[in-house]
Amino acid sequence: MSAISINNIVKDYKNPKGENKILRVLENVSFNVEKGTIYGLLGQNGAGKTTLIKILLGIVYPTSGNFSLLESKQNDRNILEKVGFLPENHNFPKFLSAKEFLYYFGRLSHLNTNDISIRTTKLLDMVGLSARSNSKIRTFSKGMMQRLGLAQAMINQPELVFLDEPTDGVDPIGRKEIRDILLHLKSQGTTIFLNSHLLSEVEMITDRVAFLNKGKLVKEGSISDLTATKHEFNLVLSTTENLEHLYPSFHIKNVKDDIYYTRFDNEDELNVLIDDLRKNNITIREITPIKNSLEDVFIKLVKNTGDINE
Amino acid sequence: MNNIIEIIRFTFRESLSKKVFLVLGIIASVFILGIFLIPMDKISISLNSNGENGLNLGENIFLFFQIKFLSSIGGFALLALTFANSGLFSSIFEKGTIDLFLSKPITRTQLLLGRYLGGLLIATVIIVYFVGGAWLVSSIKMNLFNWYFSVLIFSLIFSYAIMNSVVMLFGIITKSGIPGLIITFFMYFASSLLASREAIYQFINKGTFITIADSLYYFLPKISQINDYVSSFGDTKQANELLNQSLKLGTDSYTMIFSTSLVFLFFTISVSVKLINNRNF
Repeated sequence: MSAISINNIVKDYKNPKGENKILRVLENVSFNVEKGTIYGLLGQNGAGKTTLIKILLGIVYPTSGNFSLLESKQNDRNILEKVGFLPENHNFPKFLSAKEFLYYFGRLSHLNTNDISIRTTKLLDMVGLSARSNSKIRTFSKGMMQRLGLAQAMINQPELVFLDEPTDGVDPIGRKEIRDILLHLKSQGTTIFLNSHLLSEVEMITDRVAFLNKGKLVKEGSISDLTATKHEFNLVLSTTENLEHLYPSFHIKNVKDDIYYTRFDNEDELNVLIDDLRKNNITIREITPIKNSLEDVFIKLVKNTGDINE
Repeated sequence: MNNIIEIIRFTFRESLSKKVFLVLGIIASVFILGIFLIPMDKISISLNSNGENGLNLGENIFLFFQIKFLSSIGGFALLALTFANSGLFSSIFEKGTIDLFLSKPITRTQLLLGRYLGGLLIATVIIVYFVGGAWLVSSIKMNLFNWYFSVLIFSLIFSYAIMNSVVMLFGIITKSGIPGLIITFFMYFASSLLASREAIYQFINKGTFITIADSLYYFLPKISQINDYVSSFGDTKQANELLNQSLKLGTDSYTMIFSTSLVFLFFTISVSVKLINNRNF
């Protein structure tokens, strides 16, 4: 079951510089997001991530292509009753208190007053703002506003949440708390669409990611598939032997001190090497499969697909 | 409809938080208190000659000045309210704010109309309190009530509705409150000039100028004329005669003044709705 289905979305803007007249910010972007998963949309600044979210929420109109949220028809605004959104660079009404803010936006999500009251108490507690529920937003720090924004995005108990840079301006402890909240939401079946350039954070919680570069979808897949490497390992060994000469066929390289890197053509070769090492009384202290970080994957992709944006 | 009501409530709440409305409220209160403190009972209104309406000349003069004075106060309130609410639309179009509203199950038209009507509601409250309060206090003190006065309140709200629609239109086009404010103020004073265009034609009698001035006159709202016209709504014949001498309305009828202004109001609202529905935010 798809929570989000995107087909060949194109978005053109008139180029403000007047060159070529048209500026294409999204080019034939297509992918699906399964219900109940955390999906990360990654890319550099200006890659088109926020534009894509805005298209899905009806804030920006696509030039062509189509999409559906929670299997509804495109442009069905009633589906937004089941959707939450935390915008990037939000500008919350500073004259309201946290409680009033959640009240107004709860009402706009078609919740009744009683439900809003219950949800507000629960959510402010969840994001750690209970003590400041009657404080004006203008007195809030960036991190507190981010937490409040998260509460706002969840006020209507959404089935689908879009979060645009949710940990922006939040301290490390706050980030951990936000990650925990997102994982909790996922455990309740909520689909989370996360837009971030903090790749290490995305890697920790997302199930699948899509990479956008200059408006093009350059890669899409599960975190495990994208970060996995084929038959590459780090070995920690106790030996005085020169293993690079001893096992030339295994591509062993000394990385540092007693740490060695090796790469095989197939999994059986690892067992052969282990047998040989044991035969030569070399102590194997650790064997670790090498994984690429999401950042490594991203940088490789950007290098392969074009220049890194300035 | 509920969406519009929520946006109206939100806008009203926002307006209440602005210091400019607090200042307007204080000015209105001081003004009303000032009227209350004027020793009107010592003003001689017992001039001998009775008017045809049964009121004496002093009473008729009071009614004349009351409505003229409050009409001027209303004009000031109109300009002050337009200034105070000029950021109403540009603020909602700011990045991070518009995204938040449009991510909710409301349409752009509902958002815009809610915002517009919210501004109109706060203006109505201020006008009723400011002008209505002054009328009530002065009438109680003189024990002389001109019930036609309610038409002045209506005309002020109608005029504000037009001015607010222009601010809204230019707020959408420019994403700023200032151009709309300048254009609205210009339009307010231009309407006064265009109303007396026939006097100007005596000095500039070129065909093109006349065509342009006439076209502008019929297209633009006639805010100054509406208020001038309404301020002649004294309840006594004598007051009316006095007013009619001072107001040179020419041959323009009351119906034409209101209907063309109403058409302009619908025009600006329709264009605003069309623009907001086509815009990428």
